[in-house]
This record gives sequence, C-alpha cells and structure tokens, in this order.
Amino acid sequence: MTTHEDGHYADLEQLRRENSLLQQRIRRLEREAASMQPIIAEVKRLKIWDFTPYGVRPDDSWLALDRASATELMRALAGTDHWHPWQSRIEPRPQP
Amino acid sequence: MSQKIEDYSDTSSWSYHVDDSFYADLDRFSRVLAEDWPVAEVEPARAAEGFLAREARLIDEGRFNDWLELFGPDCLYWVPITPGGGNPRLEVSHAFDDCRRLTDRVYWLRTGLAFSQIPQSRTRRMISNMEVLDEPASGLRFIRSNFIVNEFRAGVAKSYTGWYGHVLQPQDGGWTIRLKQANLLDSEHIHENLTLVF
Amino acid sequence: MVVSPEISSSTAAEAQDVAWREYVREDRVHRSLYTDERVFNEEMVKVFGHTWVYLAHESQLPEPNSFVSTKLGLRPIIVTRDRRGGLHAVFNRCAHRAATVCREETGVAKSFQCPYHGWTFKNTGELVGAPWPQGYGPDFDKSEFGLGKVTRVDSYRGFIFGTLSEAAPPLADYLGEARPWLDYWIDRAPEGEVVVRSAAHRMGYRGNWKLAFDNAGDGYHPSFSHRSLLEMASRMGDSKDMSYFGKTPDDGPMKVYSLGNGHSVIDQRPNFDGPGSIWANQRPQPGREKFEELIRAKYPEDADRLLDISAGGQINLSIFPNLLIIGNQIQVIEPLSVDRTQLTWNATSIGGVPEEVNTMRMRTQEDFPAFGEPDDQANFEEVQRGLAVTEEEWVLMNRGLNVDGWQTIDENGVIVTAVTDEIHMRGYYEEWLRLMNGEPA
Repeated sequence: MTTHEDGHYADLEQLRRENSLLQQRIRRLEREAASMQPIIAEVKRLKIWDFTPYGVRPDDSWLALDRASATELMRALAGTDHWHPWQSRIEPRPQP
Repeated sequence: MSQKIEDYSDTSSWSYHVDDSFYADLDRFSRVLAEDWPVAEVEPARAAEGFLAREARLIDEGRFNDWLELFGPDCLYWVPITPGGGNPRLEVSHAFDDCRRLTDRVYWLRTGLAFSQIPQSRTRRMISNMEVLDEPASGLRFIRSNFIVNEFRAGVAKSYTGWYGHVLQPQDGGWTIRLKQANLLDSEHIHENLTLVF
Repeated sequence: MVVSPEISSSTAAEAQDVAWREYVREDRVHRSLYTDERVFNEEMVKVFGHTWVYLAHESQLPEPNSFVSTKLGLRPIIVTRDRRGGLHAVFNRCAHRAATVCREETGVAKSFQCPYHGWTFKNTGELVGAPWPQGYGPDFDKSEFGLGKVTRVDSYRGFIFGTLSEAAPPLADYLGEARPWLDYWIDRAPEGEVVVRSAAHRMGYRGNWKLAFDNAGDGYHPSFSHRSLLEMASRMGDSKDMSYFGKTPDDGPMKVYSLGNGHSVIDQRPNFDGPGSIWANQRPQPGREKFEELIRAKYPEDADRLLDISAGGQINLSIFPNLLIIGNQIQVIEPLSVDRTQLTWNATSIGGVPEEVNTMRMRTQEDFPAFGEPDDQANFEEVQRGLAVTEEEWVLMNRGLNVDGWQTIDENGVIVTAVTDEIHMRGYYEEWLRLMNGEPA
C-alpha cells in the first residue's frame, strides 16, 4: 500500500468519524426539538385570564400565575414558529 | 368456484401489497416531503419539470387512460382531507387510490354515466415552485410543487390551490409514479363536487 | 305567523290563512318548499329548533370541559361538557353585542371570553363577568346576561341532540321506533364504542336541504342515479355491493320501514346470507386481500364477524330532520340557505377490535363519498334547476300509495313496504307539517 493510499484511507476514516458524530448530534437535537412540542402545545392551550377588570374572584378550579411569568411565557411562545398552518385545523365555516 | 388461474400480482385487480410496510413508506415519504432540500442540479430539475408538465397536460386533456400508465403497480394517488396527510390509518381521504381503485376511478369517469361529470369538468392547471430531491439510498426522486387547478363545470368556474408531492421510481430509463399526493389549501372544508382529477 | 309562498290557487288575501297543508298533500309537495327563501327561514326556526336536532357525537367531546363548535339550523352554537362531564349547548353569541365567543372547532375550555369586549362566560353559559363592572348601573344582574342556552340537550348512546322546545317529548320517545335500528348500528361495535374521527367529507351542493333527506330513504333511485358505480363495480366481472338494486327491487328481500316522527330505514341486510356475506359483497378497498388473509390467519374463529364490521352496516337510517346513518358513517345535513346545503359524512372507527379493522373501515368509508354520493348530489342540483319551472308546481311522492299488497303495519305502528315506496317522503313531510303548524307531538 502506498503512502498516498494510506492518506486516502485516513481521510476517509476521519470523514466517517465526523459523519457519525454529526449523526449523533442531529439525533440529540431532533429529540430535543421533539420534546419541546408538548410544552409548546400546553403553553398554547393555557387560558391566561386577567381577572382585574372583571371584579370577580376566581373559583378553586383556577391557579394563579405571576403576571411577569405569564408575560415571559407568551414571549417564549412568540419566539417559536408554532403556527404550522398545514398541520392545524381551521374551524369550518361554510358560506351560503 | 371459478377455476381460472388468477394473476395476483396484477395490482389493478388485486391488492395484496397494501400492507403495513406500504403505510410505513407513506409515513417516510411524508417526512422527506417536509424537509428542506438542497437546490437541485439543472438536469434532474428539467426532467422533473417535463414529467409534471406532461402529467398535467394528460389530465387536462382528459387522457385518463394515458395518465394511468404513468403510475407504477404499487402506486398511490392520494388527496388527503387532513392538511399535510395526517394519519391515513385512522382518517379518511378524498382519494386514497391504490392501483386498483385508481383504475376504478378512471373506469368510473369513462363509463359516461357518472352524473357528477355530466357535463364534464374542463380543467387547466399551473404548476410552479418546483423542488427536486434525488435520494441516493433508495434511487427515488421526490418532487414538491405548487398548483392552481382551474375548473369549469356546469356553468361554474372554480379554482383549487395547493401543493403536490410526487415520489417517482426509476423504470426502464424513465420514471413511474409511486406516490402522487395532492394537498388542497382547504382540504378539510366544504367542497362541491370534488370529482375532478387533481 | 304563517308565511305565504306563491301558490297559484291562493290570492294574497287568502295567503294569510293558507295552511301548510296546501303545500303538503297526500301524494305531492309544492315546489316552493324547495325554492322559497321565506319557507327556508321559517324552517330554520321551527324545524331546526322546535324538535330534537342532532348536534354532535360524544366522542368529539372526550374529556371534562371539552367543546365542539357547530350549528343548530343557522345558529352558531357550542356543545360543551362541564367539569363533571355533563352536556350543554349554548349559543355562540355574546350576550353583549353578539360577537361569537368561540372561534375554534374543538378544544378544552372552562370558560369563553369574547374577543371583542372581554365578556367572559362559563362553558355552561353563565356570565362570569364583564370588564370594569362599575360602568354598569346597580341593577345590572349578571344572571340575565349569560349565553343563550339550547334549553334541552340529551344524548342517546353517544348521539347528542338538542331542542329549544319545552313541548318536545323526551329524546328517547322522539327517536321511538328508530331506536332499535340505531342500537343495531351502534352494537356492531363490540362494546358499543363508536368514535367520530377528525377527518370528514364535507360535501356541498347547490340545492335545498330536503333533497338530501328525500334521497336518504329512497330505494327507487340507486339503479339509475348510481349506474356509474354499478358499472364500475362489475369492471372485473362479478357484481358487488348494491348491484342487487338492478334486479326488480320491489320483489326483492329489501324493505323500507316507516318508523314514525319522520324517521325511516331501508334495510339492505336481507340481501346478505350469513356471516362474512357483507364483507364478500363490499366493493374492493385498497389492501382488501392482504387484510382478509391476515384476519383469517390471526382470528380464524372470529374472522367473518371482523370482516363484516369492516364494511358498512347495510342500513340507511334517516332520523328527522338532519341525521342520516349510512354505511359506517354518521351523516349530518347542514342547511346553508334555501338552495345551498352541506352534507357532512363523519367517518367512524370502533373500539374493541384489532387496529387493522379500523384502517380497513377508513378505506371502506372513502368509497361511496367518492363514487356514489357525487352523482346523487349532481342530481339534487339538477332537481333544483328543474324547480325553476314555476308552472309545474308539484313534486311527486306517490309511488306505493294505494298499491295493493305492499304495505303492512305492525303492532308498534311501523309500516313495512316495498323498497321503492316513497313512504319515506310522505312520512317525514307529516312531521314537517306538524312542526311548521306548531302543533303538539
């Protein structure tokens, strides 16, 4: 085997290692991204209702959330592209 | 009992091949069609464009039997209701045609007795924003494109917008359709007479 | 008030007192019932309001505080479950300035906040609060300004109905003789568990809503209206599902039953002989052969039953005014205007079966909406077009009337007759007439 071919194999081996590292990294990132989905879904479902203007007291089915952290939650949600227009349903409204 | 020997590999008459792996392939195709692809080289892009233009013309000219010949034996012509396709195992589609049902569809259109196509639809479609991916491992060619199908039928002009996902497989130096998915902009909403071909 | 659609025998002066009976005779109905906007507007109040109307299926509201947006006639409503699972239906109309308070199809919500001025209502309708209440006088009584309610909501084995009438009989009584047929259809699912799937065929046509109801109990049309489907089904030489309509249907084993209260059913089951026969006669679905092979191998004792429930129920049950059970689908008639209608074909899966059965049910339920229903709807549209002839005033429903030997009546008052008898139309128009005249049940 010539040194020239040796060099080729070494390059190839290095590429393989790099490729395998990248694959691992992609898998980890994908898992991380997938695990974010339920959190985003829950945040979207949160009913944030400010009771102040209503002069009513929430009943025991409500849990209080700090005003600042509610704002933070909404900001975090706004930072993700969670709309998915081709994967979410739209209320059907047939017009005559 | 009929004594004649049936050719069970004729998928225009028999459907032994639509099994778990068929559905699993659809899941995979949907994933690939949702990815970002590198910009295609000129040659595959040109070839894909030519293929889609020819397919579009065959449909618009009402040459459904010629159109049928573009499909491979394990094909699917799929017009989902759920945007993006959803889960076909638990959701119905406007069309989920394996080779036999697609052959049925063309036969049905050609009986001349389908009142929903009397008078028949005249259509003309535009296809654009084409992207092409040749997948080295499988040899499959994926094409993503946008469409506007204009239809005139029974005094009413309508237009349908959406995107196509095509999966082609190589055969005899050309390509046959493995999957044609037509995703309508308002797939899950009210439609009048959806008997045209997308 | 009785509106007065045009009818040649009446003058404007008489019109005030014209009874609907003039428009619905024993053997015919007047064209204006399909073409006159005033009739339609009155139907949307009296027919879709003063009797039990199908609203939704419980499987669409699976958990406490779930909701589904739908309509009662033209009224937007929200069907809700409260925190304990009880069913309610409220008008989707803010008590303040009328904006809809809910703009989603389904979801989970304890309360609805109007996006316009922030009035907030419990999912049972009560007003929780209006912003800055000090702007309302001291006699502002929150209990007066809840969301309007569909006063009676009840469920029969998962089928949710609602009515605005206090006089309507209990739901079970209204369903009456239709109940055993609905039971049969529900009990095809091993534990009676029927699930409405999220994808539905929502099919629109340019015709009056009653054209769909006329058709649903009509055993006369299939040989003609569905010829393309019958031809397609015999492409491979053997005849499949529904081709039996081609043989002198009145001498065949199929019957139509007039069930009272406007309900009827066509029973196609006598065409099938024994377990596995419904499956054997089903037009071929994608994956059919592989599926049958698998089911017969995995469940040899139970295969015929599992195969049969993968195909349709073989009854066409019409429950007045808007619920049609056909195949495995729950079909709902949604009137949009006097000459526009949506038919929603809700696909169903069932509990207690291998998952492959439900996948095959999806493939079965794609067949008729693709190759059968569009031809019917094309014919409905052509009827609507034909009705433009003002000089020809009548639509006939006299087939089977006074025909010797066709009709027999059982001890419950159910009339059984030949499948092409137009008794279905005559039966439901009696109920229509009662509602339009505001008579008690």
